[in-house]
Parts: sequence; structure tokens; C-alpha cells
Amino acid sequence: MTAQDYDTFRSETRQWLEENCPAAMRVTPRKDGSDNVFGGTQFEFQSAEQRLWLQRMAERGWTAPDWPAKYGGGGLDAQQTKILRQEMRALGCRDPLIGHGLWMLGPALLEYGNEQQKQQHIPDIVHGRIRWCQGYSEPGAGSDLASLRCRADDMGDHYLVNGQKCWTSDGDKADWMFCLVRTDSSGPKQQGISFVLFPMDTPGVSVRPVPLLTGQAHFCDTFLENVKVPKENLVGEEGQGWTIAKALLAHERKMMASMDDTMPAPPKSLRDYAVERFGTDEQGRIADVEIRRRVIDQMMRKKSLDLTQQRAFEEGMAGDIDMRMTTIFKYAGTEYQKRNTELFMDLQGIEGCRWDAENFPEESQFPTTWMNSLAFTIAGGSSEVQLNLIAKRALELPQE
Amino acid sequence: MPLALNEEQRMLRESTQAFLRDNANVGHFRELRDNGPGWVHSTEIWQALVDLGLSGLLVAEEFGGSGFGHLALGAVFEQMGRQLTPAPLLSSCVISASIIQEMGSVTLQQELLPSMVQGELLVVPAVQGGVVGDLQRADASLTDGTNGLRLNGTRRLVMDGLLADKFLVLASNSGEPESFRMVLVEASADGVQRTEARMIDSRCYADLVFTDCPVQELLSDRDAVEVGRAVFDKGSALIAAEMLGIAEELFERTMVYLREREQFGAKIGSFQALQHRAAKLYTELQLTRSAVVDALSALDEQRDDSRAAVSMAKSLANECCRLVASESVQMHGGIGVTDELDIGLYLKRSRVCQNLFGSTGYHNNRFASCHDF
Ligand SMILES: Cc1cc2nc3c(=O)[nH]c(=O)nc-3n(C[C@H](O)[C@H](O)[C@H](O)COP(=O)(O)OP(=O)(O)OC[C@H]3O[C@@H](n4cnc5c(N)ncnc54)[C@H](O)[C@@H]3O)c2cc1C
Repeated sequence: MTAQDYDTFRSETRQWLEENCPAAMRVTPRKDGSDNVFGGTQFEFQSAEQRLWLQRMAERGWTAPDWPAKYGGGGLDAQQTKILRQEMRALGCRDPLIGHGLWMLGPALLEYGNEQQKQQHIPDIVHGRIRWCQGYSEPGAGSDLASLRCRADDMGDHYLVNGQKCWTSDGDKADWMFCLVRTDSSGPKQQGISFVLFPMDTPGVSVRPVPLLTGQAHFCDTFLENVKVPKENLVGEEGQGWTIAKALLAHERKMMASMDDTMPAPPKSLRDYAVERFGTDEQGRIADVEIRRRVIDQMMRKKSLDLTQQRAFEEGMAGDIDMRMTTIFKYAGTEYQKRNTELFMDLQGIEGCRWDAENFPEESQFPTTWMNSLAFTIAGGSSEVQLNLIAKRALELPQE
Repeated sequence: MPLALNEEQRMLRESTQAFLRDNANVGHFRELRDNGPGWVHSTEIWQALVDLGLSGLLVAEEFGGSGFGHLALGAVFEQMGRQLTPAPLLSSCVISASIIQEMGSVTLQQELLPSMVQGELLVVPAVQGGVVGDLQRADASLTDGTNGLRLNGTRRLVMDGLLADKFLVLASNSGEPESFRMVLVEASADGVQRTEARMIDSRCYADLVFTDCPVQELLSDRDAVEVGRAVFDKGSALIAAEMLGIAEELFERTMVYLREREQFGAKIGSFQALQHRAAKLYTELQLTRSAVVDALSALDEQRDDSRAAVSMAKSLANECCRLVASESVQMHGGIGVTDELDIGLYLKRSRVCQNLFGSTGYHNNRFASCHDF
């Protein structure tokens, strides 16, 4: 495609978005994520516009813009995908659909799934018909995921799965699980892991929601007792699970690194909040010097993170990229977010701890957002694990 | 806003890197330092950089330059940082050449710029350590008398001051501290007293005293202070590029050491305490690189937000260099604080760079005022 083609694509995209994105879907979503559309059979749309927006976007495959059109994706190239995101952001369009299917399973299935699996699952993900959850962690296997013990016994045409998964995000709201199981425990721990899919209503699957700091039950303990998984639901080869698991984790981390870019810009910037709260001196500076310095730091951090994502993209296009740099994004992005939510709370002073959604809907988003941000530096590989990864993969430092 | 180099710029980066690595590297720097007068300059290195065309990257073609721009020149400064190459490139070919292009008459431009690009003439801005905030200092003033315009005053720690053939001075009118003019002073003129000023980076600084010096004014309808500010943005961005090079070199040398050095029967690089600190430095380096490249490209494109972009780049480069340099020393242990190891040479240069063209505090302030707070 030529530069001119991209320009045309941009203007057509803008026009289409302007005509098709309902006004209500251009209102900034609440920071605590309560307006998000996850899809799936249990999901209840909050409004007709929400449903319509998903429908319209999914018809074009634009819920998954860079997936092949053959499976219902948008079939866009990297540059077009970026243009679409930029235009959505410029117009303040909400994401029509989010979740584990789009972020994680879809890309992994496209890479490792067989034809039948792609045909069965990808269109459902694009349209938000099926909601997925991730069965990775276990009580004894968190950061050291490869030590997982949930076992799958070969019963000929199916596996029988037994074990416990934990921290399963939205396990109680999901329709299907992608799950890591042990099919062989004789060799090194990374071998003998397999990647399987099964519906959450399979007999033997039960979940227990676990409330988070926010009070919401975001994740669950999941118990698997003699769960029958047909062999056609094995993704890739038996024993290839660890490779697939890591590829999927890379997608998860990429998503988490730019979590706040998936949302339209908040109505009030950090700077504006700070000016409003602390006022300015005769020279127009935020009157509280310590707060001012932290605002400066955070703004620079955010800007340099965005620039680095952009740089990786451009260097990639130019064929002049050192891929090792991409190892920093999950760590740097989530640590930034954590500091940012912390600062937003500090800007409100003691009011920042107010947590009364009924009477103070605006204010009470701050503590919730802050508490959520604490989880991002843990989930999907903790910051410490990310630093290990940078040291190993990017810096090639000796391992013990 | 390009953040990746184009092919032409990449070629320049690669050829500069190859040349400096072989002909103007830290070993050469050390040799010059140890066997010279205490400050480092090499006419051979300078001539070689000129022959590579590096002195004309910001100068228009009609004066013998190539007008390649800031992003290209930034790639050069980065390599100079990596090899610790000493050269009066920033003072003469960036700051002074830009001021003359902005404010000089056509005659003056034709007279000076080609020989500056040829490296034969060094015109150096007589600004105290390149301090941006102090541009409007009242320490040099001009008097209009019967024998023409005369300059009186002092300028300390003028970078490349020892090498200069001419100085560019931004000075106020005597008795009118708010009104500024840009003037040229011959270094050999009567009344110019130049003394060597030693700094930790062993470069060619001078303290200057001007006593009734004859000067030539750059007459222009451009405001001298405004031009000064704009040109110092270039200096800040390019010094930030040099610092990025220094920090990357320090970092890579330190990683090599972590992979080699053994204690407690293990490579020290296998200790997680060091691994995590190394990974954090790597992260800062990546973020700083993006900010620096963005600032250079903002200058090329004369973007509205270029001042904010430059300040962010210099602020991040300052803090990144500070962190990487001190961690590099620390992770080398005892040998890190010896003069034998090259780490210290980089440390010293980076420490000066942190204050050249604006400290972190200065740039943080300016960044904030660009954003109205
Ligand atoms: C909000 C949220 C949602 C989640 N959703 C899911 C989900 O849907 N599905 C799923 O499978 N899992 C999910 N997880 C689990 C997540 O992947 C794990 O929490 C994570 O991998 C860390 O494991 P752990 O909690 O057992 O902590 P541990 O591994 O026990 O870590 C405890 C501490 O030790 C540190 N540590 C551990 N190993 C090292 C090391 N080698 N070097 C240095 N420090 C180390 C960690 O950084 C951490 O600070 C979720 C977690 C959160 C917080």
C-alpha cells in the first residue's frame, strides 16, 4: 500500500466511525472499567448503543482489526490497524469489545491452532459471542508457572483433567477456558505441558469467586475434577503447551503494557487535576512544588513510554529494530500506571480515599483504579519476573 | 515525526561509528589527555571529522554544508559520546554556525561559514558553560564610543574557548540590562584575555576577560535573545544525544563485566540484585533514546512542541546518565574508581554534560512552563 492509500484509508475510516459510532459510545468510560464490554453468553449490555456498536464493529472485523478476514477479522495490515486505533482515539470511540479472547487466545490460536479450531473459535471471539478465561496459575505455580501440576490423563479419545487453577479472572463469567495441563511428568518441567480448551459447563468444572481489594470478585479459584476434554481440543502437539503458553503471555504483556491506551483520554489530564486542586503561584506554576515535580515526572514518563512504543513500531517498519527493547514494555508500562493512580489519589488529598460510589461516583473511581493498578504489576508475570526476563533475554546476563 | 532513522541517516551513523571506533576512540582520548597540555584536542581528529562532512550537517549547501539536519547530526553525537571523541563540533558548527545563519548578513555568512565548515575557522559562543538559563547575563556589556562598539566583561568556562579564533557574545548595552546584541570578537583582538580553565572532562575550556575589545555586531531584525534561545535548544538536544551515547557505552561495558567477573564462585551477572538494577538501567536507556530522537526530529520539523520535547530529552538524558554512570562505577567495584579503567573517563564527561545546556531542574521547569504549569 502506498502512503496515499493509507491516507485514503484514514479518511474513509474516520468517516465510517463518525457515521457508525453512537454518541453514547464516545463518552469516556469510567476509569474503574465498569463500562467495558466483555461479551459472552452471560454478558448483559448496559445499553442498546453498546450492543449496536459491537455489532457494527464486529461485522467489519474491526474488533480484531489485524486478524485474517477469512476468520472474521478485519484483515488490516499493521499500519492500517494503527490508523484505525488512532482515529478511534481521536474521536473518543470506546473499544467495542475487550477480553481474553481478543487479547490472548485469538492470536495464539491463529499461530498454533489447527484449521478446525480456528474456524470454530475465531469468529465467536470477533463477535464477542464467547467469553474466555485463562487457566494458567495454580496454588503452587505462580511466577514459576512451569511447575504446574494440574494433570491430564490420556484416555484414548479424550483427556481426563484433575487439579486446581487459581486467580482465574472472570472464571465465573466465562464460557470457555484455555488451560495448561500436565500430560507428562517424567522430564524437565517445561516439557510435558499441554494446552487444551474446554467449556466451563463441562461436568466437573466448578468455580469459587474470590473478592479483590476493590470488593469486586474479579477472579476465581477453579476446581477441575475428572473433566473430560476431547482430544480435538488440544492446541498444537501434546507437550507443546509451554511454547504456546509463552507466546500467549507475550500478547498478554503487550496488552497490559499499554492498558491506558485502550481507553480514550480521560476528560481531565493529570496537569489539569493538579492545577485545579493546588492552584498556581504568580508565575503560573502549580503551587505545591512537590506535587508539581511529580506531575512533571509522570508526564515525561508517559510521553517517553508512548514514544518508545511508537519508535518500536517505526523501527520495525524500517527494518532497523532491536527486538530486545520490547521486553521493557510490560514492566515500564505497569509501573508507570501504578505511580500514576497513586498520584491521582494524592492530588485529592484525604478525599482521594473516599469510596462511596453512590454519592461520589467521580471520586470513588480513584481508589478503585489505584487498587486495580496494584494488580497489573503482579498479573501476567510480576515486575520482578519481567526484570529477570530483561536480564536474561535482552542483556544476556548469566543465569544461576 | 520520524522516530526511526531513514536509510541515509543510518548510513551516516554506521560510517561515523566505524570511523570513530578506529580513529578517534576512548584510547586516543586517553593518550591525548596523558601526553597533552592537560586539555584534549587533536587537529588530526578534527580534520578527519571535517573530511567526513560532519561539520556541515546543519549548514546550508550554498556555504558548503549538507543541511542533513538534527536527527542525522544526533546520530553523530551519539557515536562521539560512545567513543568520547573530542571535537569543537557543537560550539563552532552547531551553535555559532546556526547563529550566523540566523543573524549574520549575507556577506558575513559568505565570509565565515565556508571556512567554518572546512574546519579552518573556529567560532565559539562565549557562553558560560552553555548555561541556557543564564543567557541574559549582565556580565558583559557593550559601549558605543568614538572608536566604535566596545565590549567589557567576563565569561567563564567557555567550552572550546581555548581553540577559538573568534567568539560570539550575546551582551547587553551598557546601562540597559534588558537590551541585547550579538557581537563577534576576534580572539586575538586587543583586550581579550584568555586563560585555560580545567574541568573534569579534560576538554578545552577557557575563562575570558574582555577589556574594551573591538567587536563586530551581527545586525539583524531577529531578536538576539530569541535566536540565542532557539540555538541553545539545538545544543541541548545534541548534548542529550552525546549523553545517550555515553550512557549506552557505559552500560554495555558494564554488562560485559557482569558476564565475566566472578565472585562467590559465580559470574556476578547471575546475582539478581545486579540483574534487576541492570534491567532498570536498560529500561531508562530505551525511554531516553525515544525522547532524544523525538527532540531531534522536532527540531528538524520545527514542531510547535519542540521546546518541550527538547527539555524532556535533556532532563531524561541527565538523569539517565547520572544513574547509569554511578551504577557502572558501582558494579565494577574497586577497579571502577581507578583512573586505569575507561569507565571513569565517561563518568567525568557525562558529569559535565549534565550541567552543559541546562540542568535537570532547569529543563523540568521549562517543560512545565511549556505545558502551562
Ligand atoms: C488481577 C489478577 C488477575 C489474574 N488473572 C489470572 C488469570 O486469569 N489466569 C491465571 O492463570 N492467572 C491469573 N493471575 C495470576 C498471575 O499470573 C500470578 O499472580 C502471577 O504470575 C504471580 O504469581 P503468584 O501470585 O503466585 O506470586 P508468586 O509467584 O508467589 O510471587 C510472590 C512474589 O515473589 C516474587 N518472585 C517470584 N519469583 C521470583 C523470582 N524468580 N525472582 C524475583 N522475585 C520473584 C514475585 O514478583 C512476587 O513479588 C492473575 C493475577 C492477578 C493479580
